[in-house]
Amino acid sequence: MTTVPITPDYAEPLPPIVRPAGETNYLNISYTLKSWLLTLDHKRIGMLYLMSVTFFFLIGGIFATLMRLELATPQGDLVGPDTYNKLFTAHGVTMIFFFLIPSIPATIGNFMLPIMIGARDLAFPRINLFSWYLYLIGAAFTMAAMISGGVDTGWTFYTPYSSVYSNSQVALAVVGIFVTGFSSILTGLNFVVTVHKMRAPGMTFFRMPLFVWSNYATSLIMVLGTPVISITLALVAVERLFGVGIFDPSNGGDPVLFQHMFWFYSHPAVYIMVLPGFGVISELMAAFSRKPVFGYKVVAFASLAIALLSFFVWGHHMFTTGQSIYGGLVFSVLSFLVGIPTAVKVFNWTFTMYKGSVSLETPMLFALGFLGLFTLGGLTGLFLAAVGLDVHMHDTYFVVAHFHYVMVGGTVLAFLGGLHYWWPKMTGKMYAEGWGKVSAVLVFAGFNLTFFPQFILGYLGMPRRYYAYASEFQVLHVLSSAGASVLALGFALPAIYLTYSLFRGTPAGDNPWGAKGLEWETTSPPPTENFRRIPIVTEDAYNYPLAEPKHGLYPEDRLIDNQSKTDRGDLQALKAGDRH
Amino acid sequence: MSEIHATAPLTHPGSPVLDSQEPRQFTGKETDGHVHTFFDQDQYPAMHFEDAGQQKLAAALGMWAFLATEVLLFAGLFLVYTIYRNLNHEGFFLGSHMLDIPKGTANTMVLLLSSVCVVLAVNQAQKGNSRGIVRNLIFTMILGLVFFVIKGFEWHHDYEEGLVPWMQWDGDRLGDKNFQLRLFMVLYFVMTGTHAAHMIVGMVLLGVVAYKAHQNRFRPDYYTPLEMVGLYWHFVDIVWVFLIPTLYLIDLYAKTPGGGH
Amino acid sequence: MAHANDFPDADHGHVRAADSHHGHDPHDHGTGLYWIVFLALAGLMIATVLVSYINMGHFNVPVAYGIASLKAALILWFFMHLNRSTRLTQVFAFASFVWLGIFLIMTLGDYISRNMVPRAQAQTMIRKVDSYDVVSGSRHNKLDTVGPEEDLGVQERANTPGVTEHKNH
Repeated sequence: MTTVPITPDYAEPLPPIVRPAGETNYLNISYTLKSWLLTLDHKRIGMLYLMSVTFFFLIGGIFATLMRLELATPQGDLVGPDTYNKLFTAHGVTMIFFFLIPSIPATIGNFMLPIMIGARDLAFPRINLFSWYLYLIGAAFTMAAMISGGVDTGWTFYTPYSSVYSNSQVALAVVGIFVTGFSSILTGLNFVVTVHKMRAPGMTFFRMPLFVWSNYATSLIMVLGTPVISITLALVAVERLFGVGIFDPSNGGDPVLFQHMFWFYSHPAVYIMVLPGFGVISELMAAFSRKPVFGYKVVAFASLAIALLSFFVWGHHMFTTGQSIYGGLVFSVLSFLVGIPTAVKVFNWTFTMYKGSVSLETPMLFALGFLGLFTLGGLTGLFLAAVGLDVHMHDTYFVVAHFHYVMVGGTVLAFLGGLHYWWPKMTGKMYAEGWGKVSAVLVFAGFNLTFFPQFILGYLGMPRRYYAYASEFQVLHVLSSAGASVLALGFALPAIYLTYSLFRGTPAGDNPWGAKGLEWETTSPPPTENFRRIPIVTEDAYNYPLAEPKHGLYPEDRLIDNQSKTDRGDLQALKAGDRH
Repeated sequence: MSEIHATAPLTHPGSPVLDSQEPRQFTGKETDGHVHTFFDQDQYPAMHFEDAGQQKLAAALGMWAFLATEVLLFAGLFLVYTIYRNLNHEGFFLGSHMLDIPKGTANTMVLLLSSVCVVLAVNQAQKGNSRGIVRNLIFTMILGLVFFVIKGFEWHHDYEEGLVPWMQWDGDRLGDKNFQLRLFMVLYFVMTGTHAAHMIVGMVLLGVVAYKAHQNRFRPDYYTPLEMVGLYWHFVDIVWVFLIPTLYLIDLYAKTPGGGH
Repeated sequence: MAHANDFPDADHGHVRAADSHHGHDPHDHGTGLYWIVFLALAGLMIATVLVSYINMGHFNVPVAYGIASLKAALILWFFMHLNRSTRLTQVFAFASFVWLGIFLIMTLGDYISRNMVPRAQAQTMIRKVDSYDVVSGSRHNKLDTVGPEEDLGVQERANTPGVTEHKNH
């Protein structure tokens, strides 16, 4: 392999782009409803997804609010046990299948992935649009189930409760998730093919931004995992509709088999949710530290390693279900292994900031929040991967706190960070930076106030999914509910100021952050074909100019460090004198 | 640190340098104020591809990725089957002996033959013979129908024997292990039913492709839809190849316990 | 980042030499091979039916699935043209079966080891079960005498409900 030295771009900045008058972009090219609902443009489909997932985030949030209101007092004041069961099921199903899974890949990924690799569109634009409609159809089924009586099985649909005993609308909800699963498969398939076949000239795999790498790993999980949940839930539906026992022990079935099949997908699914978040954080860390991501290749391979390992660890959800002891042992050890690539990523993000010129804009604040919250979520995951400890923690609020730290503290914060980061590119408008910072701080504070008490609650023995509880837990529950209201405010703010910026925001310019990457080379908002001409890539990702060498390797730096501030003037004079 | 290197060469050794002309100029998906939408006819190669080769490869890779999802869809069914068979030996043994092996074998032959017809249709496409494509696809569809007819007789027979678990069940032959036979029959219908659903989708797709061929839409350098549908049909065939030993051929050397058919 | 006109002859990474000939190799228009493959498939089909009439003990199932896999391989390789696909496509085709294997093996691992109990735990379990008086029949009295340090014979453990012989001994 030869290395070709490239003159850094910053030596001679590119001349400013002269735009022809009346230039169109993907937003203003057409305003008809048809041009949106039948669009083949990945950017418009990404925006459609963005609107849909925001809507379902709101719906899921309303369910959560009702639950936190109920839990403010030990008694069942607001809702009864049945309604509470339906509430937490609705919250889980909506948030997981209709918000978290499509959140980053289908919105930011759909919009940015082709641009970041220098393609004009995803490989299969029609399939891309079709997958959005499948998502909506699936959501319609599941929401119909929620409205017409609700589902009370929990989002896991454990048999035989879901298949035999539950009197709620399980079949309808399951059909909805089945359909949405195919939407997810098609998105993943599209991404895989796009990454393999649509890269711009010179865009080798190891020049791709890490966001593309992590979305690629996510897509592999989507393609290989999702069909299993589809067939599993289809079997549950068959069992319910035809009254035949497939997972029913009284008919020779085995409920634990359902759990195996369910978690074969649903554990990798948590990586579907969080891996794209990792990609976003890699982008943010590089852009706001003005440095290449530390250990680029290791971070890239860590994504693939997580995707691969994710298929070997599902049994850690089943330590207390009568799974074999040896099975539990193996799954436990393998689950610990996932900690390695994940920790590699966390360390590398931290080292990316080290000696970088870190600027604390809103996206970076979200990214820093992610770093803290996700680390805590990940580490508590190791508690739960230990068989002995899990027997104590299983089905308590400790588990609830753990996965909210990973899913909200991880995915949602990354989603918000990414949304703020790319918002100027997606819309061409700048949001209100001050409000953005307020929101980031509110989300971080509110989140910790909501979920940290739940770790303690769980450790003290408060089981999850209960609508009433012993009064000694009330203080912690009230803290949690209070935090939830702060969190809700933190989530509401971006919705307001981002929407406001659409109409009144200042034009953002093509590269407001001074960031590297192909998406910042095209105009804001991008034209329908993404690039006026396909770029030829000649440099690695994150090729940031190292503006000031601060690592003390150069003699003059050591000089600066060793001298007082007043001496610097002399040094400058010295250096100036050298040139003459 | 301050030196920046491109870690990969700009030209892969052995890869053809694209035509010396400039990369194709795109004016985007808009033409005369009209934005390209879902129901519009695509150009070939489509506008977001650089050339036909890229589009062809993308389609092939996408189809194989889709077939991978189909493999894992059936994986769930085979897993359920494997575990329940090991937990319920007698019921699965008896159930398998109650199926019609000659009909199952005949159906396998029918599907294998239909696969050959599809591959011959692709072959005709490479030769640019549209009539040959249509002829072979019609053979394929006829064989698909034959499969359904045979399968229909089988299912009808099972129904008359009272072996359909959610209709009039009359399969109590194993005393306190009746549930085992029931479980086998449920899995038999779910697995063959899922396979049949895929066959129906395949038949519809074959019809669409045959119509396209009839309209002379394929050329020797462009027959991607036909190739993709062919891959799908072969995949359905492979599933059946695995279903046969799974459902029909369990320990045929042994005597059927407690009655047979 | 430099733009197109700087590198007029740069490689387009997604187009490879082998790929551009995909699907229209002039030497590949014969149909004889397809019929040979069909005859092989039909032969294997008959073989798999006949083989199931032979008692081979534990080998009936592996042989049946071995033949099925061979048939699938023939279809994949010749009918689905994996023989002239790109390496990437072959990897994808192979990966789906690898994942199928992961799914089956990891789950079956649980079921196979479901009743295995570590040796030390087996002994405490037997004593516990015994003291709660749920073990019925003659086993009951025999197990009564088992002390903590005493080694259990293979026979006893195999016949005790919930405790099967553990391979590691």
